Amino acid sequence: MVGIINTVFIALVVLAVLAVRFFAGGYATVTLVEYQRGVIYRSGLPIRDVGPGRHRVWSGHEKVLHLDSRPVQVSYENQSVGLRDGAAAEYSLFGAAQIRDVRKAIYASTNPSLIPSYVLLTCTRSVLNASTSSELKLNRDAAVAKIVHRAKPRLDAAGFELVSFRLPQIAIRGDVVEQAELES
Amino acid sequence: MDADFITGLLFVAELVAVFVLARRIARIRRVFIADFQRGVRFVHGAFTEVVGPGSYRLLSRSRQIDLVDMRPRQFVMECVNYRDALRNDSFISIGGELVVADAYLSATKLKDQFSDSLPVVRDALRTVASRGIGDPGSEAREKTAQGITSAANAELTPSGMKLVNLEITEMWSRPTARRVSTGLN
Repeated sequence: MVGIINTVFIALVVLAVLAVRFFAGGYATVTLVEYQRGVIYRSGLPIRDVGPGRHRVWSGHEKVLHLDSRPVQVSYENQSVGLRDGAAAEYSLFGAAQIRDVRKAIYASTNPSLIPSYVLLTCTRSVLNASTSSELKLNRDAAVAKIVHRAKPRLDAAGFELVSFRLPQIAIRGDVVEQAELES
Repeated sequence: MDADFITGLLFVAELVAVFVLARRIARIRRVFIADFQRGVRFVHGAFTEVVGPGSYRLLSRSRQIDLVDMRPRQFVMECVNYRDALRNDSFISIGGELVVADAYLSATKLKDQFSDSLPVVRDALRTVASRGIGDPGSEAREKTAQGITSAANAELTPSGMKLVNLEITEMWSRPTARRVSTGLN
């Protein structure tokens, strides 16, 4: 009788140990698909970058944070901006950016996928606001080049690469202050 | 009492002990805190400490760790209208980042650190911008940006938040000078 009890007790202890492993930690497999990039964290600190494939982590102590490396599309229609000469412009913008450095992207924002929108919106508005209506009418490409020139290093700092950018539409409307008055 | 009775009693006691152990194990929760996060630890509902990166076990339900993300959160505010010091209709657009400066304050004073901070920024933006004359020059912009940052941070600091990297992307005042109408292009 005592022998049976001991056997049952050992079985229960083994079960309890398995439960400990289940609830408090154990190996887990994380699979990243081909468009995902990740970083393995151990005890809260990043230990290495990982690409697509299966990765074993000790759950509880280790974690894989991963991001989608497919291009993030940015598209805004009918935005208004005031120009330097007092006129207003209505514009649309279209762009795309892709993650190049997953670690930088993770640290850049609480929501890294919003970074391209933020950078392209702010750069476009800054450049257009500093332009005059005649500059935009004569050479829209120069404005696009300025925006790209300003956006690229900022995206790079956040781990992104600018894939494409264009201003499909700019319409200028409103009153324009004479150039002489602006210069005075 | 015979030996069989005692053995049976021991068996029941073993079962109860293992059951209690299993329940306790089932209640263990783990909290993983990455290096861009902080944890605000509460025991029996009272704040005890702010914990850094690592893996923490919560042995009972009376212990809890609230995670706070310390990474910046970007925002844009576009075409916020106001009247400048000369009573001209004007508008301003900004872009900036909100970061958590104090994990404990932000976790206990704000329900949503980001959404609850934006009205403060908007208010500071209007207050500071309406004191100026809508000068779009780069120096004036920088000065206005500094003014907005200071005014917003004075309000945000008690709730553990901070406004950083503010840039004015647009400043526009309806010009009072003589105009040449170009109509719609």
